[in-house]
Amino acid sequence: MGHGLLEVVLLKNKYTFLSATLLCICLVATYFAIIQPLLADNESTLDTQPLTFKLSNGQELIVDCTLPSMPTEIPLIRCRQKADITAEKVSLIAKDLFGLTGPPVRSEYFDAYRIREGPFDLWVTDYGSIDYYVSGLEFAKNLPTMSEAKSIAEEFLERVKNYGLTPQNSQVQIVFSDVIAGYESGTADNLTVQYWDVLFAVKFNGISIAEAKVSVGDNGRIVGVQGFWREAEQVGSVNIITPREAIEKIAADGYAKRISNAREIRITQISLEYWDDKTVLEQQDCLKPVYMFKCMLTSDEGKTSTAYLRITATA
Amino acid sequence: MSTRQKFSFRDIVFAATFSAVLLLLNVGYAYAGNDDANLKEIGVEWVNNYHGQPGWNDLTLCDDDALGFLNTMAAKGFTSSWNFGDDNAWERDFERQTLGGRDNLRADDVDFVYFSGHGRFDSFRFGVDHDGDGTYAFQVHFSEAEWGDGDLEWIILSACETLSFGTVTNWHSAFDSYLHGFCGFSTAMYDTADLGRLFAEYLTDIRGPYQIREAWQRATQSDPYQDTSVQAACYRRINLNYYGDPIYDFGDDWASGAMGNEHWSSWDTAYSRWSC
Repeated sequence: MGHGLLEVVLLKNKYTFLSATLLCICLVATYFAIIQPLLADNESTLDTQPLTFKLSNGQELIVDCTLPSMPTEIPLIRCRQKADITAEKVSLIAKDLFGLTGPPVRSEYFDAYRIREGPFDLWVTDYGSIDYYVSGLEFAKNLPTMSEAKSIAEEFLERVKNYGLTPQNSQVQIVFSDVIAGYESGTADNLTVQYWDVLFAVKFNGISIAEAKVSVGDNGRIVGVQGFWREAEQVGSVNIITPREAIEKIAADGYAKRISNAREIRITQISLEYWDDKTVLEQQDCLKPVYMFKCMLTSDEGKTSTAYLRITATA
Repeated sequence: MSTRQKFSFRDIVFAATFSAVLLLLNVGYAYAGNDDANLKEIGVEWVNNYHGQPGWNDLTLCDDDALGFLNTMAAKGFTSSWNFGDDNAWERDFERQTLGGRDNLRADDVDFVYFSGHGRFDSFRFGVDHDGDGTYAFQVHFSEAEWGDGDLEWIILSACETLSFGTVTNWHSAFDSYLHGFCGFSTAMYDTADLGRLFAEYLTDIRGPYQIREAWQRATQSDPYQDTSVQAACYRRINLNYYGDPIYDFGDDWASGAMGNEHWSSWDTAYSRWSC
């Protein structure tokens, strides 16, 4: 009997022990599965509370969006020239894409060929970038609609790609972003659009590195191209600062002219991009990682405008 | 016996024709009303230090901006007449004499002026108070400007909003005699180190030559510091054949065909703007 009782007690203890162990495992699992993420969320929520900074001149800088979590390092992107940009190739491109027949002249200032023929000015750089401009466009009579302009520009871009001018690296994509009035002229109180600018974002692994533009004018003619793309490749990685650290640099990073009239600067969107700080014709080595802060500026009179503040993302 | 030279009717006709041809050959260039002995004079003023004036932050790149224009043009044979920065940049240099200004000795004594600093729809701003008559201190207000009765042809304002659509006619009274036009911005702009240099490069054979309005368009659209939220502008006089000015020695008048348009040729001034 006593032995039997002992067995029962031991068995009971064994179940108790097992139950306790199971409970512990459940508690630990629950902590990691539910409670810790909640705490982490809370920390992140704390980080998303509107942050307010007072700039040295009394302007108020408000962060009105989530501070995104960013990696501590991102790819270092180097631009490189193409080996196959020759006078013959430029001649072919000029004739087929723009109807120009003049001989390409090697620039004494830039690594590029140029054809200037009457009002037409075409540059093709050793990076594969294109710069094309038509002078004297003032009186458009038959401008396409914005959506027609978009289609015309996209079709033109496909033809440019076929000549291998756009980056061949599959990590680089060129994607449509917007259509805006490219050039308006007239009198001081009455302007008419002379051509549309169709904008494209040039991206490296989804991150913006440049902006390209195709201008579409009278009768759907291509009247301008700022093919701001370069052959680009990753050559390493670079450490970057946090969005919060970048925000603290806004006041000191040379945006005084743009934000001067603003009583309040409200950051509504934060993204990580690269900045090509050279013009399309100039040499470029590595692209600069930057934080891009989309801001709503409010002036003393209550007028609002949008600005994009670009802050260096490297320490 | 009289030694006086006698001119025949044929000589007079020849001289008149010759003069007319010379005049026509030159009409495309940016010519001043007076002092055409040198058509390449440039003056620049820039302000980084606004001494804590409320609403006008200190700037950092205006010297690079203005000097980029001056130095590039000087390297192309233009005359650097003056360069005044920060506390040496005075509003009085742009104001008319009847208001105590001395534009006759500065802004209206050169062919091209480039200003880099703060601006708004009715004025451009200075860091120190040197107003001609005490009104509109620290600024050149549109009502104080009257250019072209001396030498000035084009004024470039690398400053926010001075050529805003809707208020640009503020500056109409500044078009005295022979001023050809303004280049500037319709909206706020970003600080820039490169714009002046780029403008000079598009005016000359480095990237151009382009006529002045188009050189300004090309420069503002190439400037890496600007983006499509910024609109630049040009306000120019066209009733005196100033529609497609190139700068002297760098002729390019491909825009001249537009002058044939019957509507435009009846206008007094033209305004254009574009996204950067």
